[in-house]
Amino acid sequence: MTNLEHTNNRIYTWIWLYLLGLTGVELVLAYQHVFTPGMMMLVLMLLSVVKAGMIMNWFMHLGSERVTLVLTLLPPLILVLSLLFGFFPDAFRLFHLGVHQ
Amino acid sequence: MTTNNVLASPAWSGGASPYAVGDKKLGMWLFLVSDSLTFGSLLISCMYARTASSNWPTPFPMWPSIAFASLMTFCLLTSSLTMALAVAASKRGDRAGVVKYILLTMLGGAAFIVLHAREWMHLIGEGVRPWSNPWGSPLFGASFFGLTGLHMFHVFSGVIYLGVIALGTGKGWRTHEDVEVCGLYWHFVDLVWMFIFPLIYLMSVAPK
Repeated sequence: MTNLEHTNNRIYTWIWLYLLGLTGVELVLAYQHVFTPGMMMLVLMLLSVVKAGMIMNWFMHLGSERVTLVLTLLPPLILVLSLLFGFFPDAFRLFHLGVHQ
Repeated sequence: MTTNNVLASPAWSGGASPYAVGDKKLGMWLFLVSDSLTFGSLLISCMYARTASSNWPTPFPMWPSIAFASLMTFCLLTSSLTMALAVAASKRGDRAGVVKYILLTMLGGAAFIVLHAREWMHLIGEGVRPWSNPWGSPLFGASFFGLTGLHMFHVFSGVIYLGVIALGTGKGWRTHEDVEVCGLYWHFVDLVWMFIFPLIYLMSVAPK
């Protein structure tokens, strides 16, 4: 195994430890009930986006691919998923009206 | 335009390989994008239902439900590490290393499935169904079984896929690209769980 391969394997191990650490942070937040449910969801999803970015960049090596591939794959996906959040004002309206299923 | 001209042209002008990846890898990335939309839609609809419900159930105590779900997360994250090591072994042509690390990855996936099946049986025993549950919003069961079921199916398919690649690599039938593409799929399964775990479990932790 070359020095470069040793370095890469060390990076994978560190990423694994960071991911476990972030999961630990999520668990503490959930256990302590630190935030209101709405804020909690926002914080947890932001942490998940960070974890997803780490997995894509280092484990899936997307950062090492050509920019053309990244630009073809990610922006349309992010755009379409973001558009789905357009429904959320309706969810908040239902909640504030106190409408039950 | 002659073939040579096409090959020499820049990527955005029809260069022969604008993405500089093999067809299998490109195919897998496109599949993963479409699968992300499926999971993304389900996750966002679950977030919508959670936000819009004033009686969303919180049935998961820290022990044993969250502890087991955390253990499942540990299994998947560790299997992602061993998969990354399998791809690294494949890159340096170490076939025995590839088989060893893929078998460890399969072990992580199998442990995940066993733990998750146990969780399903526990909830079904408590009366949770996709259309109802004893505690509150009936959408909880639909969200839980829909999201985790689809994910578990991906893990199950992934374990079989890993087995095929391990066998093929051991016999010398599979190339480095096959191992790498299989790795992409497995890391994606792990990535999706990074969203399901907080949304389904941590957002429904029982009050202390």
